[in-house]
Amino acid sequence: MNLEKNTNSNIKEDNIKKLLDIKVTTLLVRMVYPVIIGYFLQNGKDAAIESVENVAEETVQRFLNYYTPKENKLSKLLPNLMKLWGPKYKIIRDKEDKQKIILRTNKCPICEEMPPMDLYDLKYCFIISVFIEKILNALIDIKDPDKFKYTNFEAETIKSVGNQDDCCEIILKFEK
Amino acid sequence: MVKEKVGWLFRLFGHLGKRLYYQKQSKLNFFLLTCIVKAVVNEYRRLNDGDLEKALKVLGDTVKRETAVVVLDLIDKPILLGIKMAIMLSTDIRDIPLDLKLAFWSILGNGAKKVFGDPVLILAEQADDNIAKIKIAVKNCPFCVGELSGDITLDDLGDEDYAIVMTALGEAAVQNIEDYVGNSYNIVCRETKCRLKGDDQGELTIYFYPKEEE
Repeated sequence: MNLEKNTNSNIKEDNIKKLLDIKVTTLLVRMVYPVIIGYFLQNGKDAAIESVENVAEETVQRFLNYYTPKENKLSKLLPNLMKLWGPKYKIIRDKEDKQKIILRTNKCPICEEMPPMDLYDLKYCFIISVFIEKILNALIDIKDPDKFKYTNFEAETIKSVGNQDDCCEIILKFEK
Repeated sequence: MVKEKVGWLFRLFGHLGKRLYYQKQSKLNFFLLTCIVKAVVNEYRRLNDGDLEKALKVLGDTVKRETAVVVLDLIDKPILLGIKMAIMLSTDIRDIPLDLKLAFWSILGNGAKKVFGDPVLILAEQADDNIAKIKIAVKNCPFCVGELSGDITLDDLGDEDYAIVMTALGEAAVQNIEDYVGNSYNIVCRETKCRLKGDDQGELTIYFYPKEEE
């Protein structure tokens, strides 16, 4: 992964770098994800979405606090961001809408081997699209606008194996 | 039938099996996962009126419950040629350090060495409190790394460990193994050293309390 050190970091970068170079089995995530989402859902669907957004927002802040992806073009940036989650996502440009990209995988780290779960009308692995949207929008504020020429991102999970779709699919829309 | 001691052939299977198991698993970035875990802890804290101790307890109980389900499933799951993880288990607690090392490797691959030291067993007769225990150095704690010590106080933590996910995982995994092999221990895993508490590095201790006393 191509990352550059955030020059404002005052924490032990070597320790962080060691963790950044390690890959951990997604079993740990899949083990607790349904229960955690269930806990968030105790207060209803809107509250659960708010909680997931809070988690994604803080995750992005913590991650970007130490390292920023070097890539400026989506064609190179997106594969590296999706690789953080593990599987290879197919990145498909929409032929009709040039500001729309489809991210698709059959090996979702959240949905793999999971039984279906009732999440109201939420897609099971929607946390990934929330994370992608937040990290891309955060990069707008961090990166040089002459090189990273995007002004807004929106991501939405429209298919999920956890909801018994044939694959997991995220629609990413952006503005320049 | 559970064996009394794991022999050298099964240890060899274990070392081969850990690599095969890790290779077959889908994997995500460990640093990303630690960021997610810390964010989840904070969200639980928000949902529990700012009470970090309560948030850690709720999350820890969740991890223990779910770990129990996964461990029991994994023990009986064939990895290669019908060989199951159960072959690595015995009634001798002196095999537990090896089981833990294999488990770390199965989860983190070669990166396990960067995070954990080798588990060290202290038998009951060697311990001051007559309780067998396993100590594991946490060389590079994924939870307190990057935390400024002023942000989380000892009062905030109360009786809970900040690395609750690790202690809960360790406690539930070893408890279920000991129950599976028919031993009578109540397993407790605690973070006995932590950088947030001023120690040089982290340490986990797994206590083997005989079931008639705790």
